[in-house]
Amino acid sequence: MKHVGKGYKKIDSAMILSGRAVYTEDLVPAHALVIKVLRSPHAFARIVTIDTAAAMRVPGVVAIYTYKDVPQRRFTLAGQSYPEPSAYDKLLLEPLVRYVGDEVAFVVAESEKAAKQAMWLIKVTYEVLDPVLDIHTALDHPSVVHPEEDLHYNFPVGGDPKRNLACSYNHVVGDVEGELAKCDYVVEETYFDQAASQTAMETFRTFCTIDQFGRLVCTSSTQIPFHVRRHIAHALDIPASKVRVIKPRIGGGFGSKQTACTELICAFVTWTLKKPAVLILDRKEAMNCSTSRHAREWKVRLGATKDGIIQVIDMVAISDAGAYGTHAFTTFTAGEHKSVPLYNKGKAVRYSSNIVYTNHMPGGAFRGYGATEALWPLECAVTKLAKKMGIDEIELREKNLINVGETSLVYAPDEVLESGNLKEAIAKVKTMARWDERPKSWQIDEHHRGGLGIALAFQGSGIANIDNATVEIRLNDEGNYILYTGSTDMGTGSNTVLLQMACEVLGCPMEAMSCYEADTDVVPFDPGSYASSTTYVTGTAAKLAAEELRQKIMQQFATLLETDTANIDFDGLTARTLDDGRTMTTKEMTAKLSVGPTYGQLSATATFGSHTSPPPFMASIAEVSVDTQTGQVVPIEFYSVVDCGTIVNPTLAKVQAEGGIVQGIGMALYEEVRYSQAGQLETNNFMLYKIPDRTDTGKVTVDFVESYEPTGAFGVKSIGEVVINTSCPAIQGAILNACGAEPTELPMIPEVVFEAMHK
Amino acid sequence: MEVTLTINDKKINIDIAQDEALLTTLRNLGYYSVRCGCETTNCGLCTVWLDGKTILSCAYPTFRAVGHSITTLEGLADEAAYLGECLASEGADQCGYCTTGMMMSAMALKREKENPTDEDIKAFLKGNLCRCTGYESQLRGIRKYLRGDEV
Amino acid sequence: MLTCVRMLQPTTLDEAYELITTRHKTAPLLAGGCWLRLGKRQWPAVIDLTELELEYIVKDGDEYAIGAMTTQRDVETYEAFQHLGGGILPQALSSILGVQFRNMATIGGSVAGRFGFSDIIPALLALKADVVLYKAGRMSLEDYLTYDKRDILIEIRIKCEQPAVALVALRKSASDFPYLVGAMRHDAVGYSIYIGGRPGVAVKAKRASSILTAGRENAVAEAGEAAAAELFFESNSHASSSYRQAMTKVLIERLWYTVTTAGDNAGEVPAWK
Repeated sequence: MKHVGKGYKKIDSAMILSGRAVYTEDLVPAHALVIKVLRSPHAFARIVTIDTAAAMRVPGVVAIYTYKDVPQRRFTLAGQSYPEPSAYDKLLLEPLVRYVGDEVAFVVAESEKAAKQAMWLIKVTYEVLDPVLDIHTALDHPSVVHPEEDLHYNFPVGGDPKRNLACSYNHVVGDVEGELAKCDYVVEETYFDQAASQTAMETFRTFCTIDQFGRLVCTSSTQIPFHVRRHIAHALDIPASKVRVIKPRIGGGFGSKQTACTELICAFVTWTLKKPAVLILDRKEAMNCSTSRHAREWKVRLGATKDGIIQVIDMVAISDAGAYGTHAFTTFTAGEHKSVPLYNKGKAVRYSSNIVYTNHMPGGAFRGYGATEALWPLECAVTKLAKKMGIDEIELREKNLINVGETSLVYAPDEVLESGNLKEAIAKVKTMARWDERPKSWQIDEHHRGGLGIALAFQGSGIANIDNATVEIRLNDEGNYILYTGSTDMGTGSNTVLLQMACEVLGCPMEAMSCYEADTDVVPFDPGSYASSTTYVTGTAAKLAAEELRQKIMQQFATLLETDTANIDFDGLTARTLDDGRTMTTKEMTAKLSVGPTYGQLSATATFGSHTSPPPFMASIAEVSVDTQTGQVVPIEFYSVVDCGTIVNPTLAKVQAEGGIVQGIGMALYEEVRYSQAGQLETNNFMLYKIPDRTDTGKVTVDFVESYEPTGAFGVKSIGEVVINTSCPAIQGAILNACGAEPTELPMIPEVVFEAMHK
Repeated sequence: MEVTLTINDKKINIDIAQDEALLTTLRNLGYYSVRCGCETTNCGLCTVWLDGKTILSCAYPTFRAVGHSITTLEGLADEAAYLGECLASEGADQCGYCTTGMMMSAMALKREKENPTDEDIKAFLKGNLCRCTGYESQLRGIRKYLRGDEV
Repeated sequence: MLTCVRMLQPTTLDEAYELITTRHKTAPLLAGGCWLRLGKRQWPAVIDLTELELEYIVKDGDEYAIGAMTTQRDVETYEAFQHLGGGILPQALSSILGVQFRNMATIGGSVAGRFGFSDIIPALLALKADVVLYKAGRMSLEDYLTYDKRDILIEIRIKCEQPAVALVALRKSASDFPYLVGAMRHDAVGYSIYIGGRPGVAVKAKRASSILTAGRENAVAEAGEAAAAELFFESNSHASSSYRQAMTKVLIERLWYTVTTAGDNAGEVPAWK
């Protein structure tokens, strides 16, 4: 192929690496008003009085808004297609504050200094309430996090807010207890993951202006421009036709910007004052007042018969929704489909959780979206089972692994795994790590032992039967192309990948096509870049649009050259008649199309949505060194093989994998989430929340096996999320092999491993 | 207060607040390669050179820069473009938000140490955090830059 | 973010001392600026020390004098310090955040901050460093750590000839503060053990030091036990007190190992992270 499979550099490289104005903050108009948010110091409290008089007297202060000033229509900040499965449980401001950092007032001023000064002068008296800070006692706690009557669910998700139950899911297939009783080996363990922080390097930020037609223009660092437009229109009760959302280049997302943390506040201020305004969260706010991964405590039971078949997978969790139910239901349900089907030979499955409201920062979307959380306990438990059975942990996995063409107890009735090179991936990673040629556990020196550990992972590619993306490609009047997409490149290079796929079809060089993305006034609908959807869903739409456009162009050439399309060879820029070698370029053609009454511009629009969400697959082996005196784990090397279907851009795919793995290593070893007893998130900055630096990671080695996914353009699946899923369980398995310690909570910091060693 | 700063070899007279951070001054002047990523001197996004040495402009009071030479990525245009190409050829730019600060460190390293090893590179760039790349592709790109590979 | 109403820039030590002891008794001193950045409050005044010409490293007789405003990076890369005490100063400094941080943070700021998590304080204690203050004059670093009068740190002085010393820091990740950090000195008088990050600032473990100096059988293990018992440990964000106590024994074992093998592989302290 000409473009698919080529490791092109990103089309935005030169601009983003030059210091030009490309990110939201660089584009803020001069004299935009500055918004600062006064936030709750209490985990749970009722505002009794709020006095802004003194603050209003600060020179430069333009407005201060409290709960008395905002629309009373509940919404969700979750970026999901309508009707959203997340509860409408939030107002811009309300008298009840539900976590330390919840919004109390918006201060709008001519300068940041004035806004900050005014914040100190707002006098708030609170009735401090008993907060719900423990997921074990949240259900039916005397304090109700959401006592309001107007909380709204678009459809039933098993919620009962009066009991602090945000939602619940209980999927049972087969007779779990009965089958467990028949098993020769049963393992049971409790695992805890963390409300890990995405920490995109660019924090949340939005500026809004009013355009020359009196419409609201919201420029934001977001993954979800269309959902943001809908949310603004709904929450502010203004027609969607009056709202435009634009995403410039953005400094990372990782799911965090699938939740609209700043947009609605900024839109409210600009719409009310009819003046440009900007809201930028600092790092502490970004980590303390947004969303994180959902914390879950899992009780896992696996049962196997002595022939090595895993008969029962039983996973029961308590999940922490935090103060608002953003993505609370879907992160849990998504986790099932991306973990349990790995091992499909058994007879019974239970996958269940109460997802409870607490007075913590809300959970939300974070790369992996429930799969990371579910694969951590499942893969640890499979390793535990292998140890108990006395067989190699890879052998046990291979024995139970799903094959192409097979179904799973948790799949939809007619659903099967349609593609995947799972066994080859495992074989390859075994070779890379020399699994069969060396011990899994060895002495390095007097105080250090080495170990190897394995983990497998699935993810999806888009959301089956929900995501659909539309792409438009135009042939411009100068004979070049432009592709319009509502997907949101957050640095991954997805714009580049879309162009590669479209150029592959049209045959033109990459330089002949530009990309315009993520402006709701201009581009066709796309839910945005999340759920590992862009290459598979939007990319397939791009291919379909390119095919249709190619056909139209061929037909047009046939008309102009007075022949038929079968006699035309077209390379994307030049058509040549096969019989007599006449040529016409797209530039020559569009010159004709752009004048007179006969012709018009050629463009094509195509939509793709899928009945399935094909899973990419990853097999990883972690090699670690464990300090047997301190419990410190040092990652030595992390070997991975990914099957993401056809690889469109091997350079960018590799970086996706390396980046995801290291983010996973951070979650496995370094990134602690700690609340004070009063419910203050303490680890809300880079000094205390340690994302890995470049000396923390060990070596990361990535390779691929390709497969061909029949439902995706050119056989593609996804890569963005699956790559974060193996780090935690593979490292846990390596620690277990190294020193026999079995840490069951994240992150596996020295003290945690030390305690596990002495258990 | 009115001060004269030397930024990328150009003298600029400006009015600054006396507690203004160099980061703020530089961004106000349109040097957008300099960014804020944290409030705790951990991330390295705001890295610039003061008399050729890397500093964190977020924690450096602007008034102290008087009489010194400030260099941002914009002032190293050709070399930065080449380093950028080296990084982009490995997909190491990703979101780009932390990259320009990291590039300032990489270009300083080239001047400070001859033929640095991978370990030297990692140690010197430890203060530049990145959440996208996992660092491996950055290392590959920097190796190309230090060797002067054609990209 | 550092915010203040007035930035004062004294040009002489006399003037600086006058300012900090009369009109601005609570004003913070601005050295590298790295720690003041963390604060939220707006200061009425901040006293900037850049004009005091305290940025130097000189050999003065049998001592090195390091000006308080010398950056961490300049100390770290100073040629003579690569070998002094097995390279303990570069070892202590190179683990602190990034190069661009150490190009700003000053050695005086690190010492005067008396941070419990400091890598540099135990290293300097093991080198038996002295400090020179404007008013109080010269005193040992050990005394300075409990000296509570408002004064200006001018310089740090270290003997050029050093016996075997070692530093071991335990941290959860490479850029984190240590959750426990210790240093050891072995000279003609015997062993001295300093443990910081408990989380309090480094202090001498006196009983442990004398046990090690006495050198009976099992002295290392006993010294570890003694230090865990005699020092004050607390839990905080970085570790629990019981874990810190347990690790103190490990730390002393490793310090002892490094000090006793220092002649064999000087400067190559095992990378325990």
